Amino acid sequence: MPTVSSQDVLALAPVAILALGGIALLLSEVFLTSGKRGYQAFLTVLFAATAGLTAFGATPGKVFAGQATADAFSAFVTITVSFGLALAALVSASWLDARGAERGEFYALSLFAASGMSLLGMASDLLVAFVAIEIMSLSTYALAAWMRRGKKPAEAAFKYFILGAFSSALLLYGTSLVFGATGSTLLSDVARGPLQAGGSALLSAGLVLVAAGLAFKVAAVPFHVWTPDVYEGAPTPVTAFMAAGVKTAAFAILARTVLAAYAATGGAADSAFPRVLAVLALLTMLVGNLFAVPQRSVKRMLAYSSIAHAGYLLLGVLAAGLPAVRERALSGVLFYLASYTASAIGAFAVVGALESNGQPGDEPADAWDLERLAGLSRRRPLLAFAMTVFMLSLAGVPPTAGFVAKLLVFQAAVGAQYLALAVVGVLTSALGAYYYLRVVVYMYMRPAAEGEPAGVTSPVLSVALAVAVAAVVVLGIGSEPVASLARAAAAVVR
Amino acid sequence: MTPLESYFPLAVVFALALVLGLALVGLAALLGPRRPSRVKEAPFECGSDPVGDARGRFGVKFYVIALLFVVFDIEAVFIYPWAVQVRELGWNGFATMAVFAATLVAGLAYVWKKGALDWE
Amino acid sequence: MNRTFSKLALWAFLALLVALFLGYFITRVLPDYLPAGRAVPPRLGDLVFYACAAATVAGAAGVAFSRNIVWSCIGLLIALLGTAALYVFLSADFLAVAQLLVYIGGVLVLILFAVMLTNRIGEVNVSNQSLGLGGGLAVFAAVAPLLMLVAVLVPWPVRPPGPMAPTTARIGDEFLSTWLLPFEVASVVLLATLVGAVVMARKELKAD
Repeated sequence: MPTVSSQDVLALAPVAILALGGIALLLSEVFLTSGKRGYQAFLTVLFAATAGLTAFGATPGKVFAGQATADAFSAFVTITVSFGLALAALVSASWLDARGAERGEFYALSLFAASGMSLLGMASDLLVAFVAIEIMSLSTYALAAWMRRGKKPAEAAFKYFILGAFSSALLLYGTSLVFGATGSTLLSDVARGPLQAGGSALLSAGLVLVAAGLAFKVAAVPFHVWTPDVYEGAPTPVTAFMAAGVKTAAFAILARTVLAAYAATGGAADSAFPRVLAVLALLTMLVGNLFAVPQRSVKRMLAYSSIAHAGYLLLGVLAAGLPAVRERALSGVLFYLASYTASAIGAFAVVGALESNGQPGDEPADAWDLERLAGLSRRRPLLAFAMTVFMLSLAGVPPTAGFVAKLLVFQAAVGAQYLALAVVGVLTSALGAYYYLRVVVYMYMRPAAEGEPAGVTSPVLSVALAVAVAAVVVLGIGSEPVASLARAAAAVVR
Repeated sequence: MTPLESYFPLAVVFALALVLGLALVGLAALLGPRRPSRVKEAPFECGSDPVGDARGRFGVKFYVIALLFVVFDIEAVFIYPWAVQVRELGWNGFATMAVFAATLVAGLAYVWKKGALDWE
Repeated sequence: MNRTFSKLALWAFLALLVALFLGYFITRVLPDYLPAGRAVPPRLGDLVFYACAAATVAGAAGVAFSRNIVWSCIGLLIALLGTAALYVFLSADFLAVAQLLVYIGGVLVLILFAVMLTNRIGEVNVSNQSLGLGGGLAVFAAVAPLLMLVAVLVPWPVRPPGPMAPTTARIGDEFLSTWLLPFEVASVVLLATLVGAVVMARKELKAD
């Protein structure tokens, strides 16, 4: 018989608020036909803020028979996702308004996606995780197709959909194998290992498939091939939201799954699972950074940089396998996700502001070429400054958030005896500094080309950029409050 | 045999349908006279002269209607087991199902007002 | 030259699949019916099961290897029907009917519409090249033997299918108790799908 305690409902409040917000915006779009849409982005921010606040309210514990867990970890994920959603909504308002493409459905789909991400942060059951991933993915497929005219957006949406469907299939197949081995989809049962002696091969196969499906979502090499095309072709604010939100949510469930997998396969160091993960992390760091170097398109460069950051995050997840450093590693990952959310959305927002104003299909091939940034410091000093802050943060230069995040993750990796990987991480970060700082060089040291447009800015975009810059700097200088939140969040995950 | 026995009549129906379909087409092909002419060879298009490509584009309307059908089809599949147990599940079950249905009713209201259900 | 090679490779791949299946059938399935030299005729139910399973696999192969996309749809129909039959063998009557209702009555029709919506499907230029047959074979060679080995060697926790009783009522109970969370959340999946479909199919955006 259905028995829902108030604790269950309270724990799910952020998810419900985000979904309800989506429905509200959906209905407001068709029932309020005044043609004024300025309120929509603010409504989205309001719902995001409410969801973020209610995440604190839940009593920690397992709900719905252990299928979801409301704890400090899920609260941190929900707050990060809500923060990203609010930033992305403000960026979208400016970008879409300039193109006459602002509609309630856009925000509704963003809110649905965010509700899926928030649920993914709580999910401790593979089936619930799958449903949450589907909410998140279906909404982002439609968002990626928002501007359909032109080849690039259509191709991006199509690729994202096909490969997303493929990764979901992998995830589901893996889940079915895991169920075959353990008789349950609950992660707490999976952690106990196979039901029968000799079933560990089946369990490992299932877990590897699940991990591969999630690796698609976080864009880890070799499951990354869709990322550059999709990130480049999707509308820029959508790319920002995808890069930050999807990554955050997917890493949350990946961390929970990997910990269960470690427990199931017995110990961290000697089983094959960590080795596979280590290879993935290594490849992702190398490929992401190496391929970002030759990119002339800033948007494409940021796409490869997103792959590279997935590599550093994987390193953190890998280190979390060792119980001794688990708390440090996971808190590093969480902090990294928060810092990446602010930096990436900010960077994509600047890129979006400099795009030409027409339909995306009319854009020349070099719509996001580095040249467009040349001399930005003269034309738009504040925009150039904001971009500099984001680039420094992505590169991991102190005193920005990116530096603290990288420091925490690499420390954890060293603590877990992954010395070689940590060295590779530091070296590739140094390589990353080259292509991030190249953007800064273009902005400050190259003269502007003739007739280069000044770019679109609006009050809402300025607010979003100011908040993002403030977040990056505050996380960099006074990182302690957020870092302690992340530590508290990491401490509860077993 | 197995409990599958209860499905035996269904299997007979399937087999009959298969045999009947094949027999009708096969017998017509075997026994029927063949006197081809230009008019007969033309693709059949409801008596009118065939116009245009057989792989012409359908309106995107068809796709939207078909997808709406699938969505509400799935909703029906979800609701059916609850309907079978509606007395046992009581008001709690009704409330949970109402939340489920309300979400989709909101979607229906949106689609309706949006005009996606209008044909032209 | 290249095309003949790829055709050869395709047929070799198909032959390998068939050989693997036959090998599995002869070594793992047949011995159950031939204990100690005494030939026991397989039961009728088992024969029907293998026919359904073979139809499912053949349909799936048709989806993957057919050059004509409409034939792929027919293959999908066969695969989905076969799956529905397999549900029947597991005493899951509701699932079997739902499979017919949703997948064959709904999803397949949707796919056929989508196929007919897109003429000139071959004229799209895709910017990055697919891995092609070689890459596909490489991935297959890496993954398939592993999965097959696992499937064959691992002792599965086998449960005999339950008695052929109506399952609908039990599914209703489970939906609203054990699986309440995914059940409720599934409505949001459906809603997002609905909105996404309308967004994709709408007319071009213009400022109003």
